[in-house]
Amino acid sequence: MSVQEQRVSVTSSRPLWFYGVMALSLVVLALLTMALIRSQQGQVSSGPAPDFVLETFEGETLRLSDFRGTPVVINFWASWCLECYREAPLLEQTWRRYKGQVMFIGVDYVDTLEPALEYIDRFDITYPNGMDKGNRISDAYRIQGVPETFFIDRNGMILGVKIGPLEHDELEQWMQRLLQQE
Amino acid sequence: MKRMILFTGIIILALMWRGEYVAIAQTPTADEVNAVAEELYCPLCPGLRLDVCELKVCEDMRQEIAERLAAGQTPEEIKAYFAEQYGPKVLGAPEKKGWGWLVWLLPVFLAVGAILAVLWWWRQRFRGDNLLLTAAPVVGDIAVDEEDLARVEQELRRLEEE
Repeated sequence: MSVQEQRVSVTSSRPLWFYGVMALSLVVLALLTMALIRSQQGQVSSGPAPDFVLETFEGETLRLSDFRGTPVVINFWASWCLECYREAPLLEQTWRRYKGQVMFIGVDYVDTLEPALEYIDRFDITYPNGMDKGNRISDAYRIQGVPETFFIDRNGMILGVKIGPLEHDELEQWMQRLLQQE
Repeated sequence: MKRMILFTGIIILALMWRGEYVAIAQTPTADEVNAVAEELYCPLCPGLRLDVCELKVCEDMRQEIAERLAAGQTPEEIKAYFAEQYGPKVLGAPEKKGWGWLVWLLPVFLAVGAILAVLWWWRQRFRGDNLLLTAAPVVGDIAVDEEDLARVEQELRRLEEE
């Protein structure tokens, strides 16, 4: 059994790059945590409505904030969404009835042009509709699917959101609430 | 006159056949469409490739690929169009531009950092300057103190006596 002198290591100060790598790792971890938290959040259901620019199928460009002073109904839909077919005639009918008092905007989510235009023709939709290019609007509103409808008061604040197809009485109640809001 | 009509008929038939031939030549095959579709992902189902997705929207997207190929667009142009239309997630990987580069380069930076960290630790651990003399005896490569050693030897003697 040998017994000998041995050298043992001692702690020394760490180099600068070590702290750089640690800081970078923490930043990445923080970004991943933020992304995870964001993915777990539901749709925006209160507070100021995220502003957006939409290019309509007619080639016009509209901005949500341009309608400040008028209540707005934003409906997310898609031509492949069968539930959207249920509420499409009701939305058009209600738009025609409240035209001038309430603005309607249709946002086409993850769709292709031809079926989208067929959908518009089929229900003779006359309020402005356009494709959500790059999913920027649906990401801003954090929609969970389609159909989904946001009700924005005349001050640009989200009054509420409806997930799924709207029914006649329900939409009528929303119209009254939007018009009563100062 | 008859010859004139016959000649005109032949020319019309030839042009029609030629037009049809060109149309057939421009119609992309299912393999050509799938070659583009397999490099894209369904915008609604995470991780599902466009060529195997059975959703209606993916069928429509494959149809659009066929139309764009027929119109003479390259696969790269078609992929760029879909990325603009549905967001970069349809590419299945971050774009190699802008902030997308960060995602590509970060693992490289982290790997280099990890290698440097191991090398630094190795150098610190075995560098002579950082080693201090100790009076503790060593058995193999484990340092033990006198008291432990005496106890072990005592135990060994006791076992031998038994």
